[in-house]
Amino acid sequence: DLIVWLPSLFLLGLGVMALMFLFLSCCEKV
Amino acid sequence: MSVWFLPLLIVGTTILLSIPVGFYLAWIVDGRYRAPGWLRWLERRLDTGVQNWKQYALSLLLFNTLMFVFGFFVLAAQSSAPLNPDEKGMLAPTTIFNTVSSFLTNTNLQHYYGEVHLSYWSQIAFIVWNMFVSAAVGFCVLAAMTRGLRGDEHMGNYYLDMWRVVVYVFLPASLFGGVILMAAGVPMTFDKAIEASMLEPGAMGKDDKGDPKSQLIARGPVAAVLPIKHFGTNGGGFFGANSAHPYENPNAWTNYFESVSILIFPFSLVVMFGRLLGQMRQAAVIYGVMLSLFVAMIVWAVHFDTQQPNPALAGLPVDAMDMGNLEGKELRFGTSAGATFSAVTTAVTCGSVNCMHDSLNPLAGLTPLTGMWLNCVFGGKGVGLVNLLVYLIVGVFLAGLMVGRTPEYLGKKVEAREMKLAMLALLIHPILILGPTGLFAALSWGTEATSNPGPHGFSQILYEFSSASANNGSGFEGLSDTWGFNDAKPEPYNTRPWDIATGLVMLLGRFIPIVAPLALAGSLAAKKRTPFTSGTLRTDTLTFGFVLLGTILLVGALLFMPAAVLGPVAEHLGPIPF
Repeated sequence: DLIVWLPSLFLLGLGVMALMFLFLSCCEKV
Repeated sequence: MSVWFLPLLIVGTTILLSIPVGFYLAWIVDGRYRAPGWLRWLERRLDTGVQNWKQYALSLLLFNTLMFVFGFFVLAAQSSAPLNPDEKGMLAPTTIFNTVSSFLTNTNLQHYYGEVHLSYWSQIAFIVWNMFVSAAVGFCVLAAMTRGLRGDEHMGNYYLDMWRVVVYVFLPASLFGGVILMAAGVPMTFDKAIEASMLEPGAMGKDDKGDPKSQLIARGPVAAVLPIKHFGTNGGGFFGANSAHPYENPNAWTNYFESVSILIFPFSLVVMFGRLLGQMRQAAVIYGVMLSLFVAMIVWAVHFDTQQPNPALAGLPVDAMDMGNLEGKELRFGTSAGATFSAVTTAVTCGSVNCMHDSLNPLAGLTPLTGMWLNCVFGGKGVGLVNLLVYLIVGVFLAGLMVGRTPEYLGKKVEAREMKLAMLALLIHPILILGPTGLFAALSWGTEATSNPGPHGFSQILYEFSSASANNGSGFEGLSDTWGFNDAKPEPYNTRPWDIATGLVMLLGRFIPIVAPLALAGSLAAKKRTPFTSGTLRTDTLTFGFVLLGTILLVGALLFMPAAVLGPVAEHLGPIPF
């Protein structure tokens, strides 16, 4: 089902990239 | 001809070329090349000013996030985009997610078949574009880290570095490589696939009306994809069979050319590192350690694959020619070309293949796995040397503790903060490989997808996650992990967890080991340089080379020993009689 899966996986990818920005700020505080 | 001639020729050529190319790269990265006026105008537009490590890493992540969005839209719109003469349809969402994650991260793991599922537009606008920019990202990380270790006040500018690497390094190299490969017979066309009539009617079977079927021969802009596929250690083939396909690797000479083009930049970047630091002895130690590991990988693969028979065929008449394991090999390249290429492509995280890795003898299959586990035997261009520098920092710390000296590298003290960042960068790799491998081996996701039971099936699962985490992209194959077009029937539900899990592993395995070392370099750059004394642990000696080698093997390889025993080693020993 494209309506369900396409946006879900798109947001999943963006979520991982957002996590990397968070990881970057964590590295600053280590 | 000896089976050792080809590997010797490949390694020898690459070593000779790596010195002038390394000097050229240092010249480009340091901004000493004076480009024509119109190119300098473009450079000035891209130059947003000098950046510290955090600004550099932020720019890198922002650029890659935009590339994820761009890639997702290009692939999702494939069926309505131009340059689609064969009318390729809509891809499944999980295939899109996996493919975008794969090419964004320089992995090029392919859960699709290029000639079947992708239009020429997707091949050019998505695949080739990502091959250039994702390769340049690793290059930039190394350039920034080197500036930090050198003690520069800033890390450079990410956008300017990207521009210089793509336009002054990869573009000219790819144009040169493309012409060479076209001359050797690699196709370069936007015409649709050829429908060929067979000399023997009916050789391809008959259709519903009883008429003989014609053969469809795929072609396309292959020569545009191929050079950057190898120069950028990308590895994603235009065709599903990758560099085993005669249109992608026509003969023994192109195989030699492709092997050298895979290795040339990872080798040269070590020379560039020494040149930028102004300390070639430091680079020589690193080069020596990497080269010794690389030669060991090739010798192991060729010995256990080209000089040993396929266990299933040993003693049969077909084995009488003493040519080693020929299953899954392309003999037009030579008998040892498959084993050699398997070591070449996994040492430097390229992932291009010219033989079936699934068919390598069990112990020879350990070579590509080890290359991906260590991930620093020259490694992907830029990130491989960054990984080795992280090992080096750990080695300095361990050696310093053992001999009671303050750990320091290039005059900068290595303290708790640097060690935390180094271990973050190192430990994410085994976590991303062993965790999902264990999970999939325990669930039907894994057991129903493998083409073999027992240790070989376990090796297939282990290889897939090793390839994803190392951003290698080669496949052991034998896994059912391709959904392809969205309207595929029957729906291959079992491929969904593979698409999503390997996609996530690729993203995490790419950016965590990039951000943490950048933070580490930024931390070292901010420290005052301590004067060199008789108490300083030297890192440019043969002794330290052995310390570094030991650190890589003990910290890197031993983590994977239990998994290796469950997979390739158990298969080599045969069924356990109890």
